[in-house]
Amino acid sequence: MIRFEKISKVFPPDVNALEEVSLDVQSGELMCLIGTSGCGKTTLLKTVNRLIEPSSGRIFIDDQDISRLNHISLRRNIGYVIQQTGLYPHLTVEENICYVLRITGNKKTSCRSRAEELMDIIGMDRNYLGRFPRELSGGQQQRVGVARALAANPNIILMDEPFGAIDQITRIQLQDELVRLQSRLNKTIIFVTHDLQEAIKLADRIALMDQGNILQIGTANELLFFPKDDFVENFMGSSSFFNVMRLLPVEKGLVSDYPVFRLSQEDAARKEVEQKARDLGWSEYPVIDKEDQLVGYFPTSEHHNGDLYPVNKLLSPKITFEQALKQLFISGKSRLPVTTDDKKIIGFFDFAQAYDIIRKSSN
Amino acid sequence: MEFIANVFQLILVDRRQVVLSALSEHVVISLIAIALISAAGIPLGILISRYRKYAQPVIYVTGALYTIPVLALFGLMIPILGIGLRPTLFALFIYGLLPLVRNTYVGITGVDAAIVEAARGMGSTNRQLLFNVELPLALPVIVAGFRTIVVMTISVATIASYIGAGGLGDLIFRGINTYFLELVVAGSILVALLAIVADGCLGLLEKYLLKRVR
Ligand SMILES: Nc1ncnc2c1ncn2[C@@H]1O[C@H](COP(=O)(O)OP(=O)(O)O)[C@@H](O)[C@H]1O
Ligand SMILES: [Mg+2]
Repeated sequence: MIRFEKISKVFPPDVNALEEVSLDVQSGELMCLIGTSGCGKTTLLKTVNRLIEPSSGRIFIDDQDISRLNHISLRRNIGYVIQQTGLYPHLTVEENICYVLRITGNKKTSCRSRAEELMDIIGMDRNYLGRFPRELSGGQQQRVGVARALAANPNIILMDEPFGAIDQITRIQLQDELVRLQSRLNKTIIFVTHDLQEAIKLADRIALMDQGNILQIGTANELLFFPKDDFVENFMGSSSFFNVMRLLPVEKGLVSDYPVFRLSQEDAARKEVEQKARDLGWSEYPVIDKEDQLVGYFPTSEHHNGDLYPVNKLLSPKITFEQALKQLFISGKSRLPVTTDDKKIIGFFDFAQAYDIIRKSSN
Repeated sequence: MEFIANVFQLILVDRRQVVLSALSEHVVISLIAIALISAAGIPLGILISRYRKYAQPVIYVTGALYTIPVLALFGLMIPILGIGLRPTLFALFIYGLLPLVRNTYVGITGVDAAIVEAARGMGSTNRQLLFNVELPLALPVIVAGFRTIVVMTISVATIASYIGAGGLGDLIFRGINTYFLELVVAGSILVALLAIVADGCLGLLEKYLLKRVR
């Protein structure tokens, strides 16, 4: 966990880049710093690896005051990815990835196997290890930048607009990959961006900055629905609900406590599930087999012949609210299951409740 | 035509021994001077890239030395250092300093700030930053400076025969004094050849290095 305590930074002669900024970033959390250019995002980020020393205030990593730590070893334990990639042009991809390992005295052979492992993680062919950065596309360079930051397996990663200079299509791809990576690695990430869509997509929480201050910290929903002031509201966009619809991944607003019946269960259990479905106003409830895969629905009505209603439409967790809504209308249902590729239910997308869920999660 | 044939006759046959020893003398003087310049110029360039407030004064002073006319410098030095190898090396050293100091400094400070930032952010020590990142990336610019001093040293070393340093300048001055034009031309051709070959080789090296760091 990273704790910023009243961090101020004055650049001589009198630029107040940060004004008593306080912020807690939890372990395993992806925190986005967002705000217009010049608001102090980069400055705040660089105080963590001490590329910038605060004029006042303290930063704690796992309750250790970082100003008391050796700044070189501190940096070696923090991944750092920047927009311009900062890859070393005279070194191969492998040598770039292994840089931290090499300067900390690791053997070349152990570095090589780590580099190969990382290429797999970032989804690049191992053949690229011998290439030079100039021989890679922008997207590939940034992937290598991420791999390089991961090399020494740091718990904390700082990313300064890493996808800012990359074309839209590749950017979305890289964002998806980061989400996938993060769900697997669970790093503590501080991610600077000026792109709201990117922040909403990636962040567990967002810190919105302006002129050296954090105006509001919270989930995307909180900032969208309960902006603290006009600036936040304007920044997040005025028609908040539709913004969520357009930007928020559907998996962030699902009914997760839904009635479900497993085929192997007793009849008594089924009655219970049925009751729960009725309470929610559902006319049918999902049925899963022993592999947890969705096989169909039972209606809640008293008299039916025991046949399963078929599964028609499944939603992928990757789509946005807007896309989910569209599917809902096309299917003519009130709710649709969101499932993994192998048909395991993650939750239900329910229009009537989507709004409630969003609002509830805001409190 | 006959004149040129005479010149080659002179170089390759008649005065072969003398020419060879003048040539090797020239090469040795140049190499020593280049070694001295490099040993001082590159570290000095690195030093002022670390302590940038000294950069301008240092470059200014070496620049001022650079503008002293060759003969004036020799004239000034003879009373202090006498004649021979010592004042020659000193003069060559003074002339060669500026290009190498300046190019080393410019090369290092010209390294992409984002790359330096990344290297620092990843936990490089100052030494690692210098040797793993800054110097390799500055190398093409440093080599360009090196190329300048090599060519310059080879040509200035010719004049140094004036103060008794030996080398190919000896052939030229002896030719002038004895109205032996072929000897003058022979010396000149060899100096030019030496400079062109050195320049060409270093040019290739520079090109190769440039390709590596883009
Ligand atoms: N090294 C510096 N010297 C002087 N002013 C700086 C320096 N770095 C940043 N600033 C100023 O501090 C403010 C915040 O900069 P920065 O953190 O880079 O903003 P952001 O990353 O949000 O675009 C800006 O006004 C910028 O001009
Ligand atoms: Mg910035």
